[in-house]
Amino acid sequence: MIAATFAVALASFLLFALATDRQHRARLGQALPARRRTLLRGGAWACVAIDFGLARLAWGGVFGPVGWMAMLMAGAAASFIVLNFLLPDRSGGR
Amino acid sequence: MSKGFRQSQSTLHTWSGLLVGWVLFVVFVAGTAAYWREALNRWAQPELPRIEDPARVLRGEQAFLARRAPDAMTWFITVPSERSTSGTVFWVPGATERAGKARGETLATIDGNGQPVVARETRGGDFFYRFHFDLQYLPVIWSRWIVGVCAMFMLVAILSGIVTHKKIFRDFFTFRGGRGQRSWLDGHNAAAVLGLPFHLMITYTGLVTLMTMLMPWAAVANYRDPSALFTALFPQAAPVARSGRPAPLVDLTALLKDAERRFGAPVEYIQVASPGDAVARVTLSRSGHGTLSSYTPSLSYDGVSGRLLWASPPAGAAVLTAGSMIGLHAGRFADAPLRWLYFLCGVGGSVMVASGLVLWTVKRREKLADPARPHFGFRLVERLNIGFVAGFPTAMVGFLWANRLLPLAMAGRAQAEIDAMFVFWGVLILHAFARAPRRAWVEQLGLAAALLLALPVYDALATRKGLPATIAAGDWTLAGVDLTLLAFGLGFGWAARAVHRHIPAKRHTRARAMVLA
Repeated sequence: MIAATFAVALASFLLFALATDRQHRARLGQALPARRRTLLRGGAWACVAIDFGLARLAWGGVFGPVGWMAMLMAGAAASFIVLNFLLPDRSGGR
Repeated sequence: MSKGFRQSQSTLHTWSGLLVGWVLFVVFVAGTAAYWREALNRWAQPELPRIEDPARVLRGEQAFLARRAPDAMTWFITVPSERSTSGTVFWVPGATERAGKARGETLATIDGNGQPVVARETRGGDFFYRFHFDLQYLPVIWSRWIVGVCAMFMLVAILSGIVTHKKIFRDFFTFRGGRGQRSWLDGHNAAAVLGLPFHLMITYTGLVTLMTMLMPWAAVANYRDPSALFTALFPQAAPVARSGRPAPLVDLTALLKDAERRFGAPVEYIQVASPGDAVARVTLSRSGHGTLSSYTPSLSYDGVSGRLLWASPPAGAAVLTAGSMIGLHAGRFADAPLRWLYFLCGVGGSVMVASGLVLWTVKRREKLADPARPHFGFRLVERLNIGFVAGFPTAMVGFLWANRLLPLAMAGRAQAEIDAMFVFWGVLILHAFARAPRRAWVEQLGLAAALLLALPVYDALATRKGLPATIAAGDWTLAGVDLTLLAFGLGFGWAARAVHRHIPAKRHTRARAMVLA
């Protein structure tokens, strides 16, 4: 359950990143259409909400929100590492 | 938002961060290590067996105290858990015992087999915990004021940093490596923004832990006698005077079982007043491991019949709020995964403070009239940065080495470990001032790496609790300490190599810009 909480937190921040012009171009090599931006942001927020539920299942009602916030920070940090150090830049310097 | 306001916040952020940054770094690093306080306590006393059955240790503690201090006024017993090294007991001597005994003579350690043991004298992880708010060699009240004021500066630095950061969401995922000042700024922003909820929480709740000292007015206005405030916050059963009629003490493990059933959580402390007397009273306090609030309730039992006499009244909203904030700060409730997240957030906070300190010099280096001969203020900050950012973690590893190398039977050994750490740190600060800055960075980071990587090797060769043995025994608490030391050793080694291989960017002077144009 804790691994799933982390995976969903990571997914949410990767989606948030791909919903920005700079990261979308750098990771996918193409411009970000407005409709796709909305979808990506919606998916990211949905992951954040699902993650809250998973954290409550993993740690219970009292400690769940603490674990949720901690996992979101861990997911954000992991997405930062993935985006900047593991994935190639496809923007071609644009 | 006007440029003037943001600029003023930027100035506030820079100076509120720099002036107390070195103390904040030390507090952050030691506090982060303290999240593994119990694991470090176990690591620091490798001769003690692992606790498999806490009830067995408690029986040993009761038997020991009944033999050693039957007429004591009070016994204090820590109930061990699987995470502890041992059970600790101490007692307030009764009338028949010699008055004015040193505390060491009324203290004992009971091992996992329920037997009193003599292990190496050490503060272990408890030292890092106390140091992060009591510092060392200073009166406690001064230290807490210093740490409290620094924490206020930290809160100001965090809030003004949020205002200063113009593109906090747009730059959320951005890191531009190999670009000097820009890279340092991106790294500092990433460490700050990615862990922002933790940084805000830990700073604010840290201030809450010192609230009655920093803002005493509400307490002073309502309670003329400080002990009345203490009684209101932590109510206890009324004390009873010793009757002089002997009576056998109830089995504490039976009371432990009953109290844990009523609490729905483990017990951490037991206090026995007037043991062996007909009016003996046993008070059990719930452990902070199972509850968010650090103000935990207690139950008092008749020490002869085992009948429940008193239970803490439900905490009021203010006590519960304060207790929860302090509990959130200390993270005692956290299981292993959550504890790791706390620890990683603490590491992130330490990196944030360290990168902010280094950024101060990186930004100003470009503007120096003669980089070969910087002004006094620049030199001072640059050297203190080395002595603290590289020197303090290295000195902490020195503390761990002192734990392993000082003679086991040495008098005042626990204090000697601490003194060794501070002498080592003093030498590292002098080294930072004596060497060229880049060499000093490389040498201190490299030394930290070497000491960290060598420690698990020494443990494997010289103790019975080396990494192969602990992994084979499935003792992941001790194995985790050694693996973490190795991981930090690799991290410091990488940092030393990166500084050694770094080629400084050419200075962008105005004259050069004009030539290029």
